[in-house]
Amino acid sequence: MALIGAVCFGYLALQNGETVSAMYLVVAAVCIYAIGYRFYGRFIAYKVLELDKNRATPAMVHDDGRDFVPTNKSVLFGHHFAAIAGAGPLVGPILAAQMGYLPSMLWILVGGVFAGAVHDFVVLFISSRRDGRSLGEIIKDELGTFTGSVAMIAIFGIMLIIIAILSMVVVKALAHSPWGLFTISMTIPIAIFMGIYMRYIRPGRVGEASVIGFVLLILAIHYGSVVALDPIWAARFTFEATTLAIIMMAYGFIAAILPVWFLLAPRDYLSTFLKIGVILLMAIAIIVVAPDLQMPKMNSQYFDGSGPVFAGGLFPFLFITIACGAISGFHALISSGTTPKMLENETHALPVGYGSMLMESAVAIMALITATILHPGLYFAINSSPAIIGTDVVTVAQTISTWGFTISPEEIINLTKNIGEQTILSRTGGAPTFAIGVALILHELFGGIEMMGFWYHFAILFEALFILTAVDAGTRACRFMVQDILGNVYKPLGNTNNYLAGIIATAISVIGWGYFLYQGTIDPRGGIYSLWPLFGVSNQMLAGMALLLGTAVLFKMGKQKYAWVTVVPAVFVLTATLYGGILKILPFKEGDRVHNAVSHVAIAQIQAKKIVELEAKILTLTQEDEIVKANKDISLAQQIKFSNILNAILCIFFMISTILVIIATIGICIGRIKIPLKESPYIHVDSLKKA
Amino acid sequence: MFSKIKAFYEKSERFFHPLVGLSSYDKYLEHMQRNHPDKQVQSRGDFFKECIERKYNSGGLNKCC
Repeated sequence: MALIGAVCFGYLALQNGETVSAMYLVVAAVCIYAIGYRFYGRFIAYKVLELDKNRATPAMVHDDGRDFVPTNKSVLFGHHFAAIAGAGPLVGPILAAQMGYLPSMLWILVGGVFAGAVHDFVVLFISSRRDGRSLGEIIKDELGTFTGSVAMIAIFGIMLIIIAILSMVVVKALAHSPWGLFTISMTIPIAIFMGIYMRYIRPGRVGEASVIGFVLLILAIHYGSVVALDPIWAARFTFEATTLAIIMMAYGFIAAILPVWFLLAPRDYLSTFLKIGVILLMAIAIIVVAPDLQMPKMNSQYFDGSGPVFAGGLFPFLFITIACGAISGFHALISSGTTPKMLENETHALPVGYGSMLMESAVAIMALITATILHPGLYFAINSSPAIIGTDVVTVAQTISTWGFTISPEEIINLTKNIGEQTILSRTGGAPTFAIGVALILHELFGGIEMMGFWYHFAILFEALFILTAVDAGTRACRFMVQDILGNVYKPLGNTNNYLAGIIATAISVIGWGYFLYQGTIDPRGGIYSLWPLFGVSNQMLAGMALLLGTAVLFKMGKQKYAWVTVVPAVFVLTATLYGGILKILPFKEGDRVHNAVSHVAIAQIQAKKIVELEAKILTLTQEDEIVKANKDISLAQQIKFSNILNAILCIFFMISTILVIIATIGICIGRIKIPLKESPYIHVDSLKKA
Repeated sequence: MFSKIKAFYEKSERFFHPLVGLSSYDKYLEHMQRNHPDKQVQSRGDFFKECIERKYNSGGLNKCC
């Protein structure tokens, strides 16, 4: 196994020819995962954490047939995987592909095995030894109340950013796409029908409702093409990104105050089944079709951060851009949620915690493949903002060809036609690239060129479906956090059964993420360009905090000599994110384009300068329409300036919270701060059986 | 034949419900029979209704990026 892996790796690393088959990437990845799981995973399970098959899990101790239910290992693996894997691993690697496939691939594999999977596994373990308590509560218990409270507020801020960035991915994919928008809109009545079916017609029959829902979805995709070809209906489903952002906010608000059985739950089931199904289908299809990678191994000209897709150099920003797939802090919230309450045996934490993350890492590899089998010229046409490449096909093809990725306008037009869209230019956010990659692979197996449009919209639907679910569920989670905080100020607002208080808290949450979303859509450089790295920074800071918590717990358990297992990834992740965070708040530097594109403070300074210039210019203008335009430019510049200042403040706040957690952890590890280990008492499996 | 398919279908609930994060009604019935045989059990509809309310309205996060 090791040998095959080494051969594939060697081939990938040394290959300098034109193209290389994606198969090598797949085989190398599978070998790494297998070795990582077999040796490193087991080492952590039995040497470091010392999982005990005789220790009763929360599901056994508190078995109530509802929340705490011992669940089969494979089922729990599927559940946990479906909960952690979302749009994140599909977007990050696609953006990172601008630097070539090799750097991204290495980080996904190494990060997955040594950082991400360890992180998920350790948190799952810690939570399962504390009756399935949540990350925030555990940090409070183990690192102190103050640190815990600050961490909880940071988690809230990170949630707002993640909802905003996910909505932005959907908005970018659906703008000017009547077919896509029609299909996604149809998921709402379909989900409502399923909800009614499961509640009144055949209560509790999830399987039946999901099958019906799936058939209706396929019909919706099919009729989407009819809508796209009809001029009147196509116009009704064609919107600008800014309009869609507002629709998205309205949708988020309404969806979050509706009863869960009506819309959220049924769509969640549909998206979970679809997610698992599509990922399996893609895995098989990649192996059967074995497409060639067209992206160069390394685009070293972009290592300095001058690439058009995201802002920032290889270190630290490549490691931040690929968050989910290598290491994601959000998994800590899932690993300390429902999963620990369902473990049948403590030893299952290895396949469920460590294994699921490796699986997600594999999904990230698939996403990387979908981006790199595209012609690099097409890749950059889809993923660069209009400010960089222009807005018409001829200019775009010319611009990108000057970068060394020769592409003709006809190639772009052909692909656009084949997938049944109006344009593929500047479709940033990763989802369209992924969908085109999926269409390129699947049409070879099923349906040929005529089916490319179907597969493209199928993939868009697949992503949008679980992003909408995440937006809805995330808004609800935020609402409870807001109520938690407001309850301290004015008691009745904290009452989660109060309808009005709930609406107020929901509105605050929606405005919170909606603001970032809207700002992202009016930003001429496309929002994703600068906001995705901010999301990456905050997400990985959360991961860093969770790894620090793991370190503190290992020290308290007297396992100092193994603490490097969490310390090494924590140090790497925290170095990358804190360094990235600092780069994002450094002031303007004359002549350093990359530096200024990364830093929110520098962007705010540039906009401030622009405002002063425009205001001076207005006084010299006489023509009415010129003055109107200048005023418009000023207000846009002001908005961009303000939102960048806000981003910078958030970034500073995340960094301060992280540093607090670092200090608390070091204090515990060197024995300056003494907080006892708060593990639940040991109960032997047999003692439960007798009772 | 038909009854076999039906039995298989009934059993699949134990697999599919936990997969989407729902409690299995069959398992709940077993649990009640084993531990609280004297108590009244909830109907499938009520059990399902309560389950999703608890899952999504408890403040925890159950979906990721």
